[in-house]
Amino acid sequence: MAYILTSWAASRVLSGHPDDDLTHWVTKAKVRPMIAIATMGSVLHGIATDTRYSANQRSRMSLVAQEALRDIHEDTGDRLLRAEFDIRAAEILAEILNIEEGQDVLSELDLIPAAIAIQHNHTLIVGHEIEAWENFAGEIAPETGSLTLMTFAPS
Amino acid sequence: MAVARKEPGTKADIVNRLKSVGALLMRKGISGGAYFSGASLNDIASQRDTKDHFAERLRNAANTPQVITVRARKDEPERTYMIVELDKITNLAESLEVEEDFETISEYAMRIIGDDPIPPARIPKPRKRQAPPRMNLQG
Repeated sequence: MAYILTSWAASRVLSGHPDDDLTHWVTKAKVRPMIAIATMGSVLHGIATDTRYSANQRSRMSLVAQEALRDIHEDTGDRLLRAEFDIRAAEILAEILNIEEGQDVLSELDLIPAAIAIQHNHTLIVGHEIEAWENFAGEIAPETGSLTLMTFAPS
Repeated sequence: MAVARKEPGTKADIVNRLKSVGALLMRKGISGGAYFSGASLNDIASQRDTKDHFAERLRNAANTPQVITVRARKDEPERTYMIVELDKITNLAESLEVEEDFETISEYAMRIIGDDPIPPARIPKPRKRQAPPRMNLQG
């Protein structure tokens, strides 16, 4: 089983917050999660726009995110693995974009890791809008594939 | 997770076997596993297209492994073979050196963030998506 992160899951893991279940799981199970580079776009946007952050918090979070980007880009497999979005994943994405379930709360950007997960039989790690993801997964046509989720309730 | 070792059955069974090989490698931090888990039904040759499209199979092996099953004859049982680009296997062998006692990304984050924890950045809500247009396939 390989694990691929949605943007919320990636944000939680990269904050390394000691009270976060998802962070704990990655540490204890010695998981090397996969992240699609597109997902990092969402995470960087989140870090830049979260109005609760002080300048100091934003800069520390950015430091972790930049290191994560480097890991993913170089794909050395040390801590994070790069999830490639290829032609077949694009075909799957085209199929799942038709699903209306969850369209108000699940971002199209997060359908990219979902398509990769379907293609490679990876488990998609969900850390937000769990019910919407479960309903979305239930709407995927069998001929497209199936989406396995591992969910962590927001802390 | 174990990789099933039973005889490959349908094309879908073979694809699943390749995907589980890939997932197992990636779980160990070996990114070359994506080469195997990227396999699809198109990568499993039928008898007919092995004869007619062998050169194409070789070219495709640069992206995903290609699988060919040779039927049983006389004393030889049916066997399934895989065409893999040599570089993929050598890179894979080199990356088996991955150390097991590594710092996870969450531990790295904790180390950098330090004693004053930061809540995860909020991912902004998606922009409103339009429902897909209803296409009239009847033309």
